[in-house]
Amino acid sequence: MGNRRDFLKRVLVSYALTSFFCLSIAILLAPLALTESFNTTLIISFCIGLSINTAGLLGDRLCRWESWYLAPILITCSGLGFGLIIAGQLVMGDTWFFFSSDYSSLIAGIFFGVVGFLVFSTREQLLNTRMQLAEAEAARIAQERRTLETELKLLQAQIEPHFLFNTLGNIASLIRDNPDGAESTLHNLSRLLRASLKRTRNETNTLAEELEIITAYLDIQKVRMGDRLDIALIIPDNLKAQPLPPLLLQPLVENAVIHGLDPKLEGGGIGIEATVEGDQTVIRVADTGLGFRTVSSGNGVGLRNVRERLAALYGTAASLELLENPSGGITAELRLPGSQQ
Amino acid sequence: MTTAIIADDEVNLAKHLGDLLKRVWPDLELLGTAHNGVEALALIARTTPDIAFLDIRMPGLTGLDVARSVPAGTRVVFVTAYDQYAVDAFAAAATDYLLKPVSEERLRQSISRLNVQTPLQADRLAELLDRFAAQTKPERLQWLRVGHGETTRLVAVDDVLYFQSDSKYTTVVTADREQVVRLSIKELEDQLDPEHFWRVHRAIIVNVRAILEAKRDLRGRYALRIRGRSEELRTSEAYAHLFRHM
Repeated sequence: MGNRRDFLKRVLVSYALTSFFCLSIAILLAPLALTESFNTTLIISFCIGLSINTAGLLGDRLCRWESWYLAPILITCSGLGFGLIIAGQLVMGDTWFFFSSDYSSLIAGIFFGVVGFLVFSTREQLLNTRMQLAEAEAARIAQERRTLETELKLLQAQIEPHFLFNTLGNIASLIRDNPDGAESTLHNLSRLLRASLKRTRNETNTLAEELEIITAYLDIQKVRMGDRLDIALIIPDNLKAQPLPPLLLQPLVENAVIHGLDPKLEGGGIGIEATVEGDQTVIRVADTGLGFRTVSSGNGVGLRNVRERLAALYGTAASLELLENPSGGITAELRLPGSQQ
Repeated sequence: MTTAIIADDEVNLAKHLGDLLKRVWPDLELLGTAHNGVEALALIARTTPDIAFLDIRMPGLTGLDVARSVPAGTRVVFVTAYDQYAVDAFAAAATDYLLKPVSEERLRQSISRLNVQTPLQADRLAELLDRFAAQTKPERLQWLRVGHGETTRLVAVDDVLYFQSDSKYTTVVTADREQVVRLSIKELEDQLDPEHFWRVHRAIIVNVRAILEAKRDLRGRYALRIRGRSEELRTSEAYAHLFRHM
């Protein structure tokens, strides 16, 4: 994950900045002539600065101290102390020199330690903020890509080739013996195709409009499956104007037919029911198909699309649940906020 | 006289193919029509036709399943609306197939091939079918049943962020809720797709796609940040190798 390289870079940059900071302090203090030479000031300054920086880096690496507010102070103090011990040894040959004989460096060290701490912690915060911004940007781009992918998958899912060619095959087979059936199937297919094309641009439909498309779909499946498919719709008139974004309900109906009913030898029934429960509109798609055991072949993607769209459109105010019917088959329960009464 | 059977779950399509065959190949005797894979198998066993027209997608058994147990003397012609992958394989292996909607012209071509007494390609077909069978992945757990009062709710395993177990139950954590299933972590581990679900701890299986970040500590264990969750998951040392190459 490139973590090690990032860390190494951070270490080098922090030492470079610290060195620059220490040099500046030494130059700043030179006119005061606190020590016998500029070099001595420089050595003391570097000892303190590098020591504090090292303590900071070690603290950062060894423990997760960000959450503990006393940690920065502790680190600065221990770094300062250690720096002064080394400086005492280097400059005076007396380890405790700066703690017993001359307090000027200790005072200067505390002063610049605090200044340095403020400067560096501000820089750290800035870096963190920048990192968070970059992270947020990356998350936004990833989200955008997911949305696009979902849209694409939706487009592909709308006209499943197997369904399309089977329907055309059915029309071809009906033309001679049952021209009326062929014609109505052709009309249903073109309604479905037209709706698919239109809906890629359309944001919201009504429940009635969606049901019209679903009815076209189910009528075609009825031609294909014959006695193996029973259809029941229970939609109160007052709910027909309820707004319903496209491609929420249809995938549930398609799943019920493709994965529940069509693979079942004797077929079965599908029921679509809309009701108002509290301040929610609830649409249930129930089937008597194969149910849970065979729900494995690929419909996870379709359902995830529905879930993602629900989350994008309504946040947590909408939900999709799959329930197992006691008598076999599955009920998909779509809950949307608001109801047009 | 050559004999044949047709297997297609769609009544119209089976009848249509039968009608076309009558027109294009009047000498062919149709011995019957089956409307699912199980019926097809029984019909073939009873009539041992020279040719079996098998739709690929049928309830019960698929056309490919049926073809595996067809007697050696029966030649298989697959019929499909759209199975691009299978069609490519058929074309490559010179297996007979028809595309729906079946056109008269295409049917004529196919029949002229069937009439040429080419040696039966049973071995080749068997090899092709074996290849298809090998490609179907082992069954993986896709859905979890979660008891919820009177009803049973289905949760897609792909939506699960992680599983965490205590002595008796396993908690299933998804973006919006935590639910309990009566499956041990071991049972889950055996049934989940190991590419996407990693056991990272004695009591934790995590969905790899839900991991935002893995942070290493001094003891070589990792703290995992999970999408949409505030808590961190700790891996145990035994499973740390999973993240070393991330």
